[in-house]
Amino acid sequence: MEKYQADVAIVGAGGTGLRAAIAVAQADPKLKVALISKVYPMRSHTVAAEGGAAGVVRDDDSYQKHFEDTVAGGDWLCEQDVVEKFVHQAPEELYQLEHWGCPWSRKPDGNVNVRRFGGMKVPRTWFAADKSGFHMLHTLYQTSVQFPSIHRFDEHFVLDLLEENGECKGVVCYDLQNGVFRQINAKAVFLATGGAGRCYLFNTNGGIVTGDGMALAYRHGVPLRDMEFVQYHPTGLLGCGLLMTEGCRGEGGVLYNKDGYRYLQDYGLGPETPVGKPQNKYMELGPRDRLSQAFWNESKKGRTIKYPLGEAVHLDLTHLGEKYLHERLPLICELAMTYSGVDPVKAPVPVRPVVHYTMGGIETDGNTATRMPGLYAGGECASVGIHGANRLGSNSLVETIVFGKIGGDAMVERAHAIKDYDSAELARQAEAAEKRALALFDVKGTESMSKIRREMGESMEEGVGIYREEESMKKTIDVLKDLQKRVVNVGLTDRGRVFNTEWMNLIELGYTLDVAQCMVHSAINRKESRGSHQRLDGKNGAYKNRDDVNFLKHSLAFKNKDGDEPRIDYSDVKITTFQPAKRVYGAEADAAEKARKAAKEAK
Amino acid sequence: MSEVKSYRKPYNPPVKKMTWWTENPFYIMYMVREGTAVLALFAVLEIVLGIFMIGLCSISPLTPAEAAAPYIWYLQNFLGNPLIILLNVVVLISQIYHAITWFSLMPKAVRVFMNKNSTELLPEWVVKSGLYAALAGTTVFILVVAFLTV
Amino acid sequence: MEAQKTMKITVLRYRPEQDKEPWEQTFDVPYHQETSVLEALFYIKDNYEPSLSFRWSCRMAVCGSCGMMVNGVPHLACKTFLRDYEGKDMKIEPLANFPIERDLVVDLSDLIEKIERIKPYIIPDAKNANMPLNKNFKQTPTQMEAYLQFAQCINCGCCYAACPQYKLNPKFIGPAALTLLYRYNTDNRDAGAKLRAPFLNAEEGVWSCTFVGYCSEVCPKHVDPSSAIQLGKKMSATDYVFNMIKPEH
Repeated sequence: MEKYQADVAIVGAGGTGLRAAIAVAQADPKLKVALISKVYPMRSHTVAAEGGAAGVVRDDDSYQKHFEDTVAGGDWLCEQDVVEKFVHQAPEELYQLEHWGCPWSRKPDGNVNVRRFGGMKVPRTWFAADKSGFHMLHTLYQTSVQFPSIHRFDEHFVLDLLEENGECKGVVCYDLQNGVFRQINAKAVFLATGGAGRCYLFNTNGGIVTGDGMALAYRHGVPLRDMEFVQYHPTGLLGCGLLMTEGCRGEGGVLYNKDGYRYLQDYGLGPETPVGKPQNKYMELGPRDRLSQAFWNESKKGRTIKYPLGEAVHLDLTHLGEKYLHERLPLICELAMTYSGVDPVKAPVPVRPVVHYTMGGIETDGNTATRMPGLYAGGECASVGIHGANRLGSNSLVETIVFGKIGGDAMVERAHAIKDYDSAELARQAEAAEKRALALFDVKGTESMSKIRREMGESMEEGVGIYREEESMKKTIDVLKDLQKRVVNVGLTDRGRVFNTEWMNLIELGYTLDVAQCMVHSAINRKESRGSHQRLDGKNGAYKNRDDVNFLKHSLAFKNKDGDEPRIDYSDVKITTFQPAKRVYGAEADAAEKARKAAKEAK
Repeated sequence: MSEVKSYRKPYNPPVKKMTWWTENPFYIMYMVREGTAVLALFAVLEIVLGIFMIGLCSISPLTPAEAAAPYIWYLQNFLGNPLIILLNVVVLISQIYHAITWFSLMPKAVRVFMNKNSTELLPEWVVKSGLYAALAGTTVFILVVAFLTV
Repeated sequence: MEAQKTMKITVLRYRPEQDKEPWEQTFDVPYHQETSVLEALFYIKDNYEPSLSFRWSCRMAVCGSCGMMVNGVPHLACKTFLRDYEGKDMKIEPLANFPIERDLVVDLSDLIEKIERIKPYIIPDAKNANMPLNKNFKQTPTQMEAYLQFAQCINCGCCYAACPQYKLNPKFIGPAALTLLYRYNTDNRDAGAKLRAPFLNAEEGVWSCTFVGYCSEVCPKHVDPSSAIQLGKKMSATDYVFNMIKPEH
């Protein structure tokens, strides 16, 4: 097998991976960076992010406010020291991207502009029209090509991590184009593989978002943290699930039910704000979990709109006018026209909640290090601790660059501290991984991969959707257990080595199934409601409420050595300055803040 | 274990060097546009021949009628030839086609903002109208000069 | 719901380890109003031919993975719908002008190499090289608009498949890469035009373009590469004249 000796190996070349690679290359051009991705960098799913990236720049804003919005938005399940570091570094990283050429939308005076976003007190979302992720990704990719120390392995699919004496020392991958395997040794390995939205059927995610990195870490004993927290984005295009950015509402879009009523005022987000005058943290600018839950309740009340493709509510942008819409939300206009046949300039767009983001991920510390020495993780695949139980829109794009940079710097330190190595053991592991992958060709089973994928997606939606109950979660657990047994009986028809996507998809499905299991097991054990994890059950509905006494802690899903299901454990949440309080929005939030101020003054 | 470096065997579809443009209507239209250059060449040669014939007149030592003979021949026998007339009609049509297709492409090569603080580009129709106005102006000018000198 | 329609879809197959040259395979694919070509391919892969290979990811015309020829015209599979071909048969082939790696997957390494060759990044002048990270470059909306359209390229390769000059001369840097070059040259934060001039002015640079214009016609993101190239020619010509008057040391 061909072998490449790198100093740093980065798996995934989206926002986080590219930022980390550049950080390493800038810190020390002598360090060899292997940047490995199963697609070309600009295909990574960062590309599809629309709304923008949060960073404090306005005079009426402060780090403290961003910190509070984030922690409260995450229902106090955030690592507060990490959030603090995060909000401080965010503007710096956003300016860095500006210097590298990212076309952030501007004010007439030539400075960057910011827009409103859900759950944020002050407008602080940097945006590049509604293609923020696209522009960030292309800027990072294009910037990265000037660093000769970054050696890219495009279209290389990682099969396993190499591990010796409990330390991560490299990866083994399948080169799709050449059809061969490669061993890549490295002093530090960084997982930046993105989320796992493909556990669900109806999602905004690209086909590549299959949880590969999460499963790799998990299989090597690193726990996945807070996996029960899966974000439903409230406005996915009906039918295909494509994302209608939160920027739509930030710019003034409103949501109506079938009676033309702005139903969000019934769910603690009111009072109603005038159309065209959006107000932060009110109504449509509430956080995503609340809005998605409101849809579910409207549906139960029979107040949603029935379409042939399912139930929806209306996202109305018509009052914004053609010129403004085409300037601020060009992609939204294009997507709605193309995939839904609706021109947002003229008619409201049918939308419904759709799986969007995995808040949880590979457990890391604030510097992206996992508990396995040599293994780091950042971006959506990681849980560095900033999102808690619900991520605020526009915190994830900044996360990619902030923790990409932090991770890059951390790996440089490690690479300087330890010597190059290679060993027969690593080669043995790489060959074992190759053998395991090739063995899939010998399976004579008759199971269908697409059927397994569909059953998994459906069952996840039923069991761990917007609202959850013990019974349905148990069913999902059984389904997944059964699917794990069936997936080893999928017989491949394609025996080619070059670009064998059937083979790769099967390995991906294995990853996704592992991650799905972590999600549902974490969920069934969290007997409370918090952020995006909302339960309806318990004695007298006891689980409907947040339970800080028992559950103000992170769940950890460990790979079970004996059984085929994860073992769930818990760890403490770091609380520094912001004590848990009731999470409120709309008028209630203003009242709470007033009360807090008054109490402070009384002191 | 496998020491194969690559299982690749990319297939390079053959390139039809001569007939590639027949595969797509857009390419055909492009070739027609380029082809009008040949007819433009004919028009140029035709004018060059006329000038050459006038030149022959001035060096002739004979009577005015005889002196004008080369040019008269050019006008009556050459330009008056039905075949040449037909060809000139074809040339005219081809050049109009060329102008139309070329003008419709020209806005791509012009990127001017309405003013210093505008994000709106000069609309395409302004560029196109300008070109058509220039064409009309030049045509009128040539016709006027031609008739005045007759 | 309306009765389901079906379409005959022919896909070009090529398996490098088995086939000498590409061959065609035809499938009956049921479809409705919203079925995209990409979804038709999913249907084929899930129900008839799991070994069919094609690239895809985002499904929303922004990742640039699924460029392919539909009835001879370069398209993004995810943004092309069967409804627009009603009553006709459909033929899906890999992107033209690139080597076929396998089935609908082409070898894009030439495109990628060219995109990376033209220095597609901000090269600031000396006084801006160390701008602090709490300040942005000033760039008015008008200054941004000057290049923004040309920054919308998703690197799908459709323009290369449309370009006859690239077909005839694979050395041509081509539409997407030249557009990117022009994009950076016109960004007021950039001062790297001189370093990019060799690529712009080269024979395989803008002057290899004969303004066929088909690249702009097929571009799924309306980037209009042929416009960028014509503007690039102006830039190149100005550069040439300027250098004649005031030769560089």
